[in-house]
Amino acid sequence: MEPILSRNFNVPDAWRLSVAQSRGAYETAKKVISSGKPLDVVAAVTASNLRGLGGAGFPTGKKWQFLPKDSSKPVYLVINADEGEPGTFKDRYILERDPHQLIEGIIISAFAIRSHKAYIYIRGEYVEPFMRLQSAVDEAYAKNYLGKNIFGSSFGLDIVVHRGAGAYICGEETALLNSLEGGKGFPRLKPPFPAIVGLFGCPTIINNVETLACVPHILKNGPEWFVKLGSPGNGGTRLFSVSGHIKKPGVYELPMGTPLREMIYKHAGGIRGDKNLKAVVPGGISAKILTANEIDVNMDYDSLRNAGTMLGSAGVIVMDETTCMVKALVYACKFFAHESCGQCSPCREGTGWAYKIVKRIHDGQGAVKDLETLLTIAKNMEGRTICVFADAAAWPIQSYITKFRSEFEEYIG
Amino acid sequence: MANITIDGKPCTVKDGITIIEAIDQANTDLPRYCYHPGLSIAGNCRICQVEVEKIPRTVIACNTRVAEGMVIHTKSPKAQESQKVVLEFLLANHPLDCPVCDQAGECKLQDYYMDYGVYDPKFDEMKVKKSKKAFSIGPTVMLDQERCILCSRCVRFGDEITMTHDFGIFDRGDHARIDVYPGQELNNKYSGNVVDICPVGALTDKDFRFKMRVWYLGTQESVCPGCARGCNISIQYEKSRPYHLKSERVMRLKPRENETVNKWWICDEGRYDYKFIDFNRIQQARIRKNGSLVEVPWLELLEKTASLLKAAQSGSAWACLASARYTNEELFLQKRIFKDLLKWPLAFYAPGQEGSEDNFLIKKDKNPNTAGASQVLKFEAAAADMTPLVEKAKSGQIEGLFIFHHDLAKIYGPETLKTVRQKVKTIIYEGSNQNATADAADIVIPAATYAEKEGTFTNFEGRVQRIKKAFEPIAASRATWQVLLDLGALLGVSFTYKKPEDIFLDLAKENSAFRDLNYKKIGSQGAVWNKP
Amino acid sequence: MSQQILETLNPEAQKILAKYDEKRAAVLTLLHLAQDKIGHVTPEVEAWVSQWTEVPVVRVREVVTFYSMYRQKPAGRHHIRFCTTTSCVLLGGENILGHLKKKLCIKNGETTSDGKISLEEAECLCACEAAPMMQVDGKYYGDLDEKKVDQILASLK
Repeated sequence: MEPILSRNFNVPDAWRLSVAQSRGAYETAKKVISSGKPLDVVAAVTASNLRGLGGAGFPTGKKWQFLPKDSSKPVYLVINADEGEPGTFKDRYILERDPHQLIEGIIISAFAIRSHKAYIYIRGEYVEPFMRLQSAVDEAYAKNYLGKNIFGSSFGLDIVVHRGAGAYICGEETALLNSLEGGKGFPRLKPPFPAIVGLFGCPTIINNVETLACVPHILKNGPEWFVKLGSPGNGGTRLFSVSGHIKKPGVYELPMGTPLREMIYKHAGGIRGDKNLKAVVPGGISAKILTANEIDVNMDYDSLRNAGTMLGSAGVIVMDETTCMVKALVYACKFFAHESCGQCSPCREGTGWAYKIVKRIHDGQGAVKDLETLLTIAKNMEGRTICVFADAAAWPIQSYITKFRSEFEEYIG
Repeated sequence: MANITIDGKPCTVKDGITIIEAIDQANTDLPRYCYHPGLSIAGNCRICQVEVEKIPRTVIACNTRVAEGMVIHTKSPKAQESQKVVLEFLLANHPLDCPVCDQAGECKLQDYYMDYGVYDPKFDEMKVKKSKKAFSIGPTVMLDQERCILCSRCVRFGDEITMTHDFGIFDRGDHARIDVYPGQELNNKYSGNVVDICPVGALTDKDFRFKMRVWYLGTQESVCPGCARGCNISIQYEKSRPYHLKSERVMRLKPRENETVNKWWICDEGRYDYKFIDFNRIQQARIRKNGSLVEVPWLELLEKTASLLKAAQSGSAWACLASARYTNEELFLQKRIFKDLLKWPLAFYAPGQEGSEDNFLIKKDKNPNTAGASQVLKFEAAAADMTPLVEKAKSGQIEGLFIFHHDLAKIYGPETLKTVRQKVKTIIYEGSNQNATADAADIVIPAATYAEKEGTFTNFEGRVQRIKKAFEPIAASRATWQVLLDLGALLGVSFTYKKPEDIFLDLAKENSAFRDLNYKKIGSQGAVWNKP
Repeated sequence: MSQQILETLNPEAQKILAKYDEKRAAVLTLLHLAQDKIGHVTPEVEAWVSQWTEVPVVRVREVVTFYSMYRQKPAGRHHIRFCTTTSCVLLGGENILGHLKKKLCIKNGETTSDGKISLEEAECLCACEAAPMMQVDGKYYGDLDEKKVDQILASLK
């Protein structure tokens, strides 16, 4: 297929404005800002079936329409560049290889939701991507693609690039807001929702990097085009991050709904050393794992949900036959125990507790009751916390133990 | 208004309140840690889970608003399962400190643990250890980070009530810990309140540390006599501990909730100033004979005092120094005897005794009943100043002084007391605690403290509030109203009162500010008088 | 000592505050600014950030201890973050990390005795396509094996 989001990824220096512009950057934004209408942009994005590509998959146009129609407060657009889901690196590719695509998407989206101030929250560890992104923003300002009266219109937009400081939980949109406001990354109670009370108490839309990168293409080629690219209800193409025991790890742009088997064996070259596949994580570490017998599933939001897992951030982690699933769960639980913000009790206590048990099992000191305890902890965390981090922590525990129970039982022996 | 159902019972509540507020109004119970009606909503303990029909998962009651027709279950199997599960998480890393923890007996973890029967916890790992255990964080409070359940009430109190930003939660995950900024202390005028709001034994009161197990305490409603606000308090005293060899009765004071006076709070000065109830008391009736004060039976003291008063009716050069530390009832009796009957000059205001004030609870007038004294004795402030009378006493124009409570040495200096003693022939002192004026007097009448009698105070806003008797007056001391009734009888006044309530009803008849008030109306939260 | 450095950062701090709609939003950025210059976050840094942003210093300390990237103790001249999450582990990251620790003679969270290099075990740095990987100062280094690690260490001054 013709690359869309990734079309500039392998073009040297495409992060510089001169190169990006020679390949069409900002043409669509110019058209939309000069002669388009915000409501039409919203309609186009809604019709395209674009769904949030950070992990939750919420329809983007619908989210934009949650904003109050008449608020005296300014509307903020916040871009979630706090990529942190293990197995996922596609936003980083956009940030360091084609930042102008993102900026163009931001300009059009801000125009659509009548926002004049956008904050890009970029993960603190992304040092070189930050430098490229900031450079791209500076270049855009220099050409008056940002600032006042963009493209000679009455529309103005300022972008601030804000660095995080190392906390996975800041990828959760309300935790991101608290972090952006200068505090700890504690998720907020909902309601109220950010579209009503968000950044600095004002109506706010938070969108993922990749989501906004799609917007210029939707406006250029029309929503129907985007719909046709993907599977029903799941618009367009998207960037899949493939890693693990795979011959060709990397970012793959493929239509929504591409079969997982095809992705692994056709596009990504198959398993390293031609070993046998054992398990696949389809959507970042939080996603429930699939066994080698379960990879005949289409990679889109709805299909994976029906298969009992999720597309999430589309971080595909491939595990071959040499993988010890108990060890894999140890590292998954370690991640969640280290990244729990600690605000609410089930997650704070549950993630630490689960990690201790799994580590003990892996160290050969497991007891028979431990598996039931782990499953109970996972079940008890779900649905009882401020945000879905606890659910995300629960899913690997539930799926690895359920689908690979014999391995765990062997350790306990 | 919204019509909702809680546990099968229909009720009508204000639209838009939270479920937990509705539940509290309906007097149903629901476990909670982080929720406190005086603080913002945190929603982090997650234990106030309720089942709401048509919502698939249980929700937290503190952050869910009621809606018309909502059907709420607080004790359904689904709700209780959620509550129990959260409790188990909270117990996971909690240290087994009950035998050494002051909170035992009034600990919400213990209480809910018993309610839900979480006797066999599944947690079998090493509990998380934290560095500050039994750690002083200021002059009044001890911190134990391991016991803390991170409900953040103390953080919110420092941010929203005192605005001193004392506490922070550092680190993240299960290593998160409560602490003050290193090098800083919890040192504001309301620091003791964080101990009240801490649901567990993480923040404990140094003053109460290891003093007594709470199940030995009796409790009585009263009002703090420390300033003109009259914060509502509970006096908590040793009631039933066997082998309690010390003579202290009061173990601690706790604030009592009053929406209009002090909400849930009290200042540290009021909270910790109770030692005078048990220490340094004037314990016996004494009369000066041959230059020294000797203990005498009450009857002898009363008869001697009455005879002095009888001989000093109007025209004589005696004066009475009353005090705004006394109850409305006692001031009424003082008026009847010293003003109406004996027609002596009367004053009660001691200058220069004002302290600091803030825009929260603390008032600069450190007397509990200035408003009552002015109203009952019919004085405004200037006329009530004692200084002219004291000056007269110093210049030899006063023959006798009846002093209630005031220590002239403290107010005017030891030289003034010395001069007054030289120039005034007879000094009668009535008060509860030892001081220089009592030591210099000719007759010393031992009085009960506010904790040992019934009565009412009127605060600065005109709210009349009841103090209640927690225990009998110490040693031979007696409530002032009783002493005054006895003196009155000996002076030929036909008082028919049997108890302070009777005195109050008479006061209400005579004084328009108190009209239509009675003890029942005053209740536990007080009632505002009729002054315009 | 850090007080003098902080004074030189004041003009930059002013510019940073001007970008945000509310002063408090600048806390993370100012902490990065100071840490990059001084090497770690000292109480003077916290007081300086508190003054600029009008945020109580206890809140600044909360931020410093919450996020992984802020250090309260000095690090080495070069700081290594080594990824220890799923994809890197699947591709032998544990062994590479072991080699690295042995080479430097330090454990997680420590600095070499000459103050040159410090090591931190990190969670997913989102460069899984190049697993196993580590970050040295700002730069990502992936597809690591023992030889490559040695080369990288040798190149550090």
